[in-house]
Amino acid sequence: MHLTYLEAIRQGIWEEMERDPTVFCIGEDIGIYGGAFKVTDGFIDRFGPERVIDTPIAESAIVGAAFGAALTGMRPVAEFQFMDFIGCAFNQITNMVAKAHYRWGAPAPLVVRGPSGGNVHGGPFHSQNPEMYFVHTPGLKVVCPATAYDAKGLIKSAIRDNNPVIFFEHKYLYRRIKDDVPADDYIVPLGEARVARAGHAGSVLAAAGGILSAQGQRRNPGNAKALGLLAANSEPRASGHATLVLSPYSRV
Amino acid sequence: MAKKHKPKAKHSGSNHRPHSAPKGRAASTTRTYSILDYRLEKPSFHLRQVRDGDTVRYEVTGTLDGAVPPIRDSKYLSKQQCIEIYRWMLLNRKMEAALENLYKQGKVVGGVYFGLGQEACSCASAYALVAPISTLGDLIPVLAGVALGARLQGKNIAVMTYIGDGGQSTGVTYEGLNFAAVQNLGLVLFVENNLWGYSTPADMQFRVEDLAERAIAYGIPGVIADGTDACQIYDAAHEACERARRGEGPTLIEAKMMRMKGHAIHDAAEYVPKPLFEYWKKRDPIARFDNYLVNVKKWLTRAEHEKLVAEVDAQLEADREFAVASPMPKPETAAGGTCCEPGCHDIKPKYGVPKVRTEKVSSARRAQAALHLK
Repeated sequence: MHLTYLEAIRQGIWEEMERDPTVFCIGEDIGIYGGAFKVTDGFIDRFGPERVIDTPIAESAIVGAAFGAALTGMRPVAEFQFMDFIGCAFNQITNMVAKAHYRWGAPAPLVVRGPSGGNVHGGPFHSQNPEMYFVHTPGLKVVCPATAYDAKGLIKSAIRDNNPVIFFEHKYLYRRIKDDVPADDYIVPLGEARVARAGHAGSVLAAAGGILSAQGQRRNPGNAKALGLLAANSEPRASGHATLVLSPYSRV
Repeated sequence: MAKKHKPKAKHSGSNHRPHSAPKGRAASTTRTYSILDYRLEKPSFHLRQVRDGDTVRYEVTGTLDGAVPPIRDSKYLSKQQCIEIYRWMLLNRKMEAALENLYKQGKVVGGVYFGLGQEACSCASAYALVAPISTLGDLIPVLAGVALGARLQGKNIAVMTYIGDGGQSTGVTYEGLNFAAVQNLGLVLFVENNLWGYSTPADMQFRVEDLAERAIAYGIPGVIADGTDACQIYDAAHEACERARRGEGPTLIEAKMMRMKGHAIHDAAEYVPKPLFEYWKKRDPIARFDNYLVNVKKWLTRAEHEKLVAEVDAQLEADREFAVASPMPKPETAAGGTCCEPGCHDIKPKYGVPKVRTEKVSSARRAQAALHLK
């Protein structure tokens, strides 16, 4: 099927909810409204309000409650309406969720997902790329898919992972890119790099929206955790050069 | 022909109003609410900062000369249960005394935080519960989530967590309790008002007279209990847990007492006005319960009491020996374990496999484009 990046994510979450009764969604306006970006459109009709929970505007409570449910063996998918609001739950994510396995031996199999990135006339609170705060936090996995194919495979991997995963969906890509996405159950493993185009002079690693502005030799890592993705088989070691391109920030 | 019944849509939230709110008369312009208060004395005193020459210190005003009230008989506890709770309280107190000694001998790595004067609250409330407990404000929404997870797995459980007069000032407290309330989750929140958040008195943390009044704002029942009376604490906790297990949602219980040591071992708490110490020392929970069991109810003879104390001492001594004789953990063990690796944990639902809706919709609703992306 030829799906947009957004449809691929929707399909990935839907398939996981059908496959595993412990998966549920929690967030603001995700139920009858179907989500601000319509990622969960149709979910409440299919899965019921018990598994598609609309919350008050309380990001600490969204993540905290998702963490608590994860401790009972559920696999919550917590949506942030915009990842710019992730600061509202920063303490829950970095001090509670990220430390759970280290401190208590308690895995926290939850996914925190939402739209990030700019170039959409969203202003300062609807355009941010906050992923690096979480790349720096041990205990978390951070994912920034760059293609529709990756988006579906990675969200499925993220949901199945026993670790907390922060999943940044680039909103600029939501409906602007399409890919052939298999109808069957497939995953893209977290933490591996994929060569988008091979070259010789050096390596450019890009994630999410950065893909569109990367030049020369391109790599498509799919997820930022693998900045340890300068892994055994990667050519930067051979060529000696690597340039990291994320969604561009300009400093004035 | 029989009429087909449309199954009632299940609310995920609740439309419960505080059960104490009366239906207003049309002419009335004022609403009144009531808060259950189990205490047998209701002192009122306040702390404020005053300048005293070159220094600024705390001054306490109010009635501090009332007689110590009796223990209120529990509606639910048997003689055996009371004695058991007393044993736990004694163990609690003596363990902390042992820890203090060990700390002063340089044998403890890290800090020591005491609960002196609060043993009735911690022991009697925990005794009412069989399921998860925690003590951090940040864990209020988490415990709400535990109750949510259990409910998704088909079980109404009671979860209990504690927060202090200081900790309840955080935003996450509000968010977590509000979420539990609107979702009707079985969260029993014990607010341990021990009058001090580190060096900050309760009068500088909030303006309401009693924190239990905050329950009104969440739409849940609020209860005040004497934190130095084990029976009151148990009763309040028991009723709240039963309510939770019946699926009637959260309860906010405020336990009133005072922290009889500093915030931690390094804090001498010199900022606490002496009259306040004197007042609460007379209300020591262990002394009160001791008197109740031996002199009032005559459930323990002097000899039985001495035997009980000796048993607790012996148990503690054995534990202390074990701890002191145990080797320190190897430094290498501090590394690793940040991630759950493959094969590390096999996660299964704790209370049961969730029952899920299996019928598929005949056609998925056509997705509308989000306004943001137009």
